[in-house]
Amino acid sequence: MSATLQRPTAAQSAAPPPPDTPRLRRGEDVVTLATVALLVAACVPLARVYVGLTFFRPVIGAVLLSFGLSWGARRLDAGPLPSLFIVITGWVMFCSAAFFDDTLFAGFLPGGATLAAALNLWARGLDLVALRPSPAFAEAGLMFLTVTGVWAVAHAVEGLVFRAAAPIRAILMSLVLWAVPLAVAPPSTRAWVWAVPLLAAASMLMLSFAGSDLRRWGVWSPAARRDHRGVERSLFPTGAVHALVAIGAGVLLAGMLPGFGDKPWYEVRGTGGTTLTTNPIVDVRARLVARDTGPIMRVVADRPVYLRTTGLDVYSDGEEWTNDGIRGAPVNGTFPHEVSLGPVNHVRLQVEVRDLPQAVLVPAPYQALTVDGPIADAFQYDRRNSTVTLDSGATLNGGDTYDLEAGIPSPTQEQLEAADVVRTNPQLLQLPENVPDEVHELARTIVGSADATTPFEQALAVQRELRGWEYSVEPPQGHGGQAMLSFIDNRVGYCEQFAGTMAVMLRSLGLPSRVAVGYTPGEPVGDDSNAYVITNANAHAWVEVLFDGLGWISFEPTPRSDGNVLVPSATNIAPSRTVAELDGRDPSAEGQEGFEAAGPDPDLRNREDANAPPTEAAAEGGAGGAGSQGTPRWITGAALLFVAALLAAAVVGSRGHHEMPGRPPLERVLHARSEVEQIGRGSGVTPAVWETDVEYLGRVAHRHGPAAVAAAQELAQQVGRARYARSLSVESAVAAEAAAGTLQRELLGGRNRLQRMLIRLRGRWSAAAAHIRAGVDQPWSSSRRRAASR
Amino acid sequence: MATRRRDHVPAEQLAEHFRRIEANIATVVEGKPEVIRLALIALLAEGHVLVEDVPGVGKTLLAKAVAKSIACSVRRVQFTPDLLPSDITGVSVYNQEHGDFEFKPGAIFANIVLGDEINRAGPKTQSAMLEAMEERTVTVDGTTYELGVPFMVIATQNPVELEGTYPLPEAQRDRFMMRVGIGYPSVAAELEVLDVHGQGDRVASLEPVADAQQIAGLIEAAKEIHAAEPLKRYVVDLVRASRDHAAVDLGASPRASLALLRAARALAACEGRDYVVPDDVKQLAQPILAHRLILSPEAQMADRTAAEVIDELLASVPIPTAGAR
Repeated sequence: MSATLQRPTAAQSAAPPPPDTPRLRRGEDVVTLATVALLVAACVPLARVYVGLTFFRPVIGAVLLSFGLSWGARRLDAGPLPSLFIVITGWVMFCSAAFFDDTLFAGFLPGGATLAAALNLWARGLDLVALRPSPAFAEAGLMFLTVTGVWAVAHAVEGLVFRAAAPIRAILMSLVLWAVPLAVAPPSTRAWVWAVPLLAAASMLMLSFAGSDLRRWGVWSPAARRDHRGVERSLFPTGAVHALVAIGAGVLLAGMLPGFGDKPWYEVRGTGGTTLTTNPIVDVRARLVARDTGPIMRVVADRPVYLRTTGLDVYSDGEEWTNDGIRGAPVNGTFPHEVSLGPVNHVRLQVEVRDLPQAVLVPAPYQALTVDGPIADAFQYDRRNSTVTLDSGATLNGGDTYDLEAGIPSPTQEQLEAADVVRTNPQLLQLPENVPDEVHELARTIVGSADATTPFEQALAVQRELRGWEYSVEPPQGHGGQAMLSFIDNRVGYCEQFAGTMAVMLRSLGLPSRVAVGYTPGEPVGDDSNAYVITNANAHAWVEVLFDGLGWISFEPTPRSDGNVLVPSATNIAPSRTVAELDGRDPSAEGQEGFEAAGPDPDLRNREDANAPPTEAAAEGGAGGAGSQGTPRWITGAALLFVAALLAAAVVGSRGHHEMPGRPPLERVLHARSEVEQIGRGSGVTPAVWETDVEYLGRVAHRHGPAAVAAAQELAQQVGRARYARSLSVESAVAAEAAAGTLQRELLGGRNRLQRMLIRLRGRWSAAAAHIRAGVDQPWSSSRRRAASR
Repeated sequence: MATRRRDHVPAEQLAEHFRRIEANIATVVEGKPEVIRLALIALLAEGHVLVEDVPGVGKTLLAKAVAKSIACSVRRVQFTPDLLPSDITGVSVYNQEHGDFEFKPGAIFANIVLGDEINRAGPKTQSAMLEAMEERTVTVDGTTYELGVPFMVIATQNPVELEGTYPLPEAQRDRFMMRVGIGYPSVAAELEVLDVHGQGDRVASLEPVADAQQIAGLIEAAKEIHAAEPLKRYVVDLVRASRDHAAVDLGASPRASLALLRAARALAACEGRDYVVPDDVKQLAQPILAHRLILSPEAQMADRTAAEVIDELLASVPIPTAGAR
């Protein structure tokens, strides 16, 4: 007895469609896939804000995990608040593992240290947002913000789609995520590349909502209401409101993203003179890690020389080395130079361009004196940053050759010791306030320990110190304050970090310095000892200091592993052989010893403890840096597992797709009708707004035989009852489903599988399109539906 | 009466009654099921019917058959130009035996009143008739007399002969719930007529299948038929649209909305449903709305008809739906 009494109670509690959390009734698998696709598509434009693809794994991992947690929590019947709790917990675990893994207890439990590190990283991230030009490296701070953002968006989108059944708002939300990076970065790719995946996913989501669920679209939408005269509003105001919200959000949020409002990377404009704005330092790294190892230039020269493309003399608030833009003036064979040169070594060289796509900056040694050759007429020169460029519109093409004569400043040690630097140009000394104190401190410590008093000694001391550090092209990226801190803490980096940091330190010591960007001398070609081949791997950055009366003197702080560098020393400021050549060794071998042999201060490395920053800071900075480099494998694994689970769920779910028992009868009847309408629409019989169910279904069944007509009548009767009667019984739903089944069989009889699929597809599309055109949700329908589901 | 209202007549039972009466009438009025049905719907919806058609198609026959089938009082009034209002309503006559006035009820005091060729009476008489129809009471010499239940007027009007007639003004036509045309019978039906009509008065031999009290019960039951919110909205939309139509000078009145919904309820009842569907409204739109529209002079010049306008409305006013379509 008690068992029979309990049974209905259990059944009731097992199937509770709570009225305030309407659920998707069907096709959840399709909707799930569409939603995931939408989120992933919305993340893709982040590629424009970040350099490289390292950002992608953490971001996609975050999207999938956040969505998966929300999805799973909902499937386990968790309410919105428990679900939010689960998602936040997941976020804490994810970020802890990704960014703060060495602060965790037992490898996975976040603690006080994690919180402190997180707060630090958060603040740093906000700083970076204001400082970084776009695209930025995927630094830990930025990634932390981004991951948090996509985590929140993924959760919200899941809720909007499945709990609020409001796909339009979900799409809107993803659209904001999608549009913000596009608003930040200058257009470099055609918009459709970014738009197509998003639109595809969005329309997939909308289509998967077609049919009876379509009506839910406008529950909170202004289109669903009537104005005071009882007239339904059209779709246009709704669309306009939604669009304004999206634009507003995009504009507001865009201002918070990396590099918003910064000068674009690269632009060519003007006539007569050429004006370039570049951020070639980023270009250096891109070249260093480029897969393309073919020759880009071939140089015949008396001696190995560095080929500059430009000089960067502005260290901006954006914490990047850059310059004010390049404004070339015609050369006419002879380069005018800005500063007076002391003794120079004359070098003649012939450069043959092999593959420098779209290059407008001409690689040339400092100081170029004369130029000759077929394209010499197009040469222009910007004296301020000693940059050779081309007429506006011209670019270097494969096969172009030019002959240069250059004078490489080669003063003696005495001249250099005696010379002061040029202190009259404040721009060459300017540093923003946000340079970390540690950098200033380190510079002073280095020169103090080396007893360096003259500017030349100071510059050499800093060069010596940095050359003792480790070279790697897989560094914690960037050269802003945080990255510089990380760099001086870890003492691992690549040329632009070495050069950028050294130049900052020199400026901090009062020496006018800039970063030169270009190429190392390249590898000698076997048969001709005067010929050098330059590849992308030779991309390089180094430091120049302006000595009074002697010109810009180059310093080389980077211990490049290939040894393809010219390291100035006290006795030989302009060496004519590279470190590798001095070593007489295989250029691919480690370069450090070569430098040591060239005569550095052997004590330098023993002074490390004197310069070493606090170890705690090192640990934190290191954690942040390490986190941005790679995502722990388990995250990737979990994401893959999740995708696999989704696919499995989709396959399993598609079987029970059309079974609706347990749903409210009204919904079952209307669903049965919409299935038939789909076929009707797919066969070209579209319902008119003024048509009753009897009329429309009659028209659909027309000419399909008496069985179809009878089934249509029966279905129409049940639909009429469902729509207009006081109450509706389960028997009606069963009858409607049976009639709809018969009708569908009759309608599709004689068609093959492909034709059936096409008909259904066309029907779905037609229904979705019609709904978009109508864009209204009459108030009584939703209230009735709610009443019916109770 | 009050107890009757609470008695719930199930929709199926109502439909059964209806079918019986319908079948009964159909034995006499051949080949015109729609017309019979409309007349019965008007009866259940407490409306009056204006039968407008050429002579000899069976207008009077229809009215008589309806009246005969439901065993209730029938009065037939042949309208003529000299008919007086008191002939319709009744008159107080001095009774010398009792020494006071005695009310002699007029022709309207019956359950079913057949007004033949209503357009032949003078306007004054027409008015008296129509007022009684609307108010369902008659006031003579300060005393108000209630008319019975059911009470239905079936008036006929001949559209061909215009000489010596006083066509009902449009405003008066509004009082009729519906206007029906009977139309010529089909060949088969007409042959049948030839065969059958020689065999004496078939109406006289018609047996009643319901009484007045039963009909009153059905009327109450029909009022209980459920009309969902969107459906009422559809009725209103349709009637309002008739007022905005370009070819219409004067559209249908709120009385028309009322009549349409009431008749739709009755139709739903006849079909055994306890709820109204939009198809009910659509079916009844022509007979209930067409005679109430006054077309603009331009539309009349262009030979447009009210029926065309109604068709246009039916093919443009959206059907409101409960739930998703």
